[in-house]
Amino acid sequence: MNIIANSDHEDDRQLKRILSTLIWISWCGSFFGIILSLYYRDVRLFAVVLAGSALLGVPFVLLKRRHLHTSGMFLMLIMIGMTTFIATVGQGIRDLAVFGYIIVIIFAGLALNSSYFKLCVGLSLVAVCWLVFGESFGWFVTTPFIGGVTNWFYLAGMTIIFLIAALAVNLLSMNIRKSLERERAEVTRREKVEEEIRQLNAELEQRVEERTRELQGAQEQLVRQEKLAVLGQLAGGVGHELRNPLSVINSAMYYLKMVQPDAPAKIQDYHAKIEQEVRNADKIITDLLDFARVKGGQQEQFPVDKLVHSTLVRFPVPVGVELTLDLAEHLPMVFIDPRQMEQVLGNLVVNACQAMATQKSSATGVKNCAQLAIISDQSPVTSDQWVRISVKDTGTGISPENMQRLFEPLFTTKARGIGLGLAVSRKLTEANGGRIEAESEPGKGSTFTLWLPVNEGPL
Amino acid sequence: MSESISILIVDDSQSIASTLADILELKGYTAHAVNSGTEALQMLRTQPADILLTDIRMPDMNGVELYRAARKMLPKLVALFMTAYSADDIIQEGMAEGIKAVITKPVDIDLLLSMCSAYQYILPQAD
Repeated sequence: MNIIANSDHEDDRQLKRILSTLIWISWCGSFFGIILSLYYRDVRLFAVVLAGSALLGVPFVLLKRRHLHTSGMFLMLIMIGMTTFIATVGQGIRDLAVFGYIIVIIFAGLALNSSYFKLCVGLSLVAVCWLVFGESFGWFVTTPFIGGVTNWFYLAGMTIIFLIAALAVNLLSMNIRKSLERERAEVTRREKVEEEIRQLNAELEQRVEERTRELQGAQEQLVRQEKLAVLGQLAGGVGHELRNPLSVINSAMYYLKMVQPDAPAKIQDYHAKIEQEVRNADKIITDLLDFARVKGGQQEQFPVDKLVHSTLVRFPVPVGVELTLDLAEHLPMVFIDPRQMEQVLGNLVVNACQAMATQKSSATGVKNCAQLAIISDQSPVTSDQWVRISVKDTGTGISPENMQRLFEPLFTTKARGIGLGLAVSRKLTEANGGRIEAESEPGKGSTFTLWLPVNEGPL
Repeated sequence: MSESISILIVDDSQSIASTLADILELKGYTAHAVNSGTEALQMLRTQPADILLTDIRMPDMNGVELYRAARKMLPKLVALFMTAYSADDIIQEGMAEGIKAVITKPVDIDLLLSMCSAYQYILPQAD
């Protein structure tokens, strides 16, 4: 808006400049005419030129009062009138007068609007007709100038008209150039503004998308937390209640095994199955209770190899899985709660073995056998701050979409699991000042890495 | 070792108390099972025990309260707690009172038996 208003203003100034130049040129011309008429003592010429220069005051005043178009119109009318009069009375300069009309028309076209331009063309045509036919039909009688139209006189007139015409053309080209520049600047500005708007739009869209995602995330988080809060309340009660019957089943089984030491193999097999399932059930309850309330651990300096070995005692690797241990020597002790980290490492071992459950055992000699590697070293990057323990399997791997939700509570891909194992593992690891990471290549296997702190942390 | 040590098992779940008692009897201990703190105190008046194996949470009194009352009658009584939830706050209270161990349910019977046999050797010497 501002720029458009400015350009209007610019146009007005331009027009004002043109008009005032023309008025001053006309006055100069009048002055020349007065001197000429005095020199030749031509009263008619003197009177007309004097009247003309006095009339020029009207457009001058109008211009000062900013009535630009009216002022321009007056100027044109005065010029047409004067030209016609001079051509009428001055024999031999009629062809010069025709040039005068053309210049007036060009100025009108340049400076004024199209209706004024048409008016100027019409008046000029009438004037030309008057000049061409007037003498033939005897409407007026021309008298030659007193001094006569000499070649010098004619040349001077031509030069003046040519100069005025040059001025007009110059004004015209300036006008065109300026308006082109303005237009180009305007286009550039618009493009810039459009580009800005596009960018803002894109930014806005992105921001809206982000917000929406955040909101969705927050909502999901809320739902999850609510779910977990309910789960936590339930876990306390249900877990406690289930452990009593489990304890009875367990004791009863123990009793039966004691009193039937020589039971048939089939029955002993079932005894073992019942005991195993009691342990599985207890594991689920432990996960639930642990998740509902991660206990503050009792951290101590603990050797890494002892942690790995005691974990493998508590969570033995099933037959058919080839286990490789690669524990670096001279590792510093880690500052952890051994029981909690045993549980975490055990979870990883159990998960790894389950991921390889369908694989051919190494005993069959097949190349693609189930392999579990536990690697422990100190990361060169983080130097002496951390010890890492990696549990690497050759199992089914984890798909990228599952990868993102891996540590989410209640997320599970197992047919028999409540999806708390890794969630608890992460909680426990973080409670011990460590962290847990997972990477996987679907079809080739997964690696879970525990980072355990060496120091006790700031004391 | 001439005389087997006596164990009193207290749990509001009758099945837990009786199965454990059966196992311990089978292993040669004198074991009794009762289902509340009140019953346990009554039993201790007539038949003193060496080891008190009690649940922590019971309707009439908790394990710590039972142990405090029982210790007035039998100062040398050894107490073992059973709990379904190892983070129970009462455990800390029991530890402060001097209980010897906390066993989580489902009870690891081999662990329980090894504890009992350990006390079997310690207790007569303490006499």
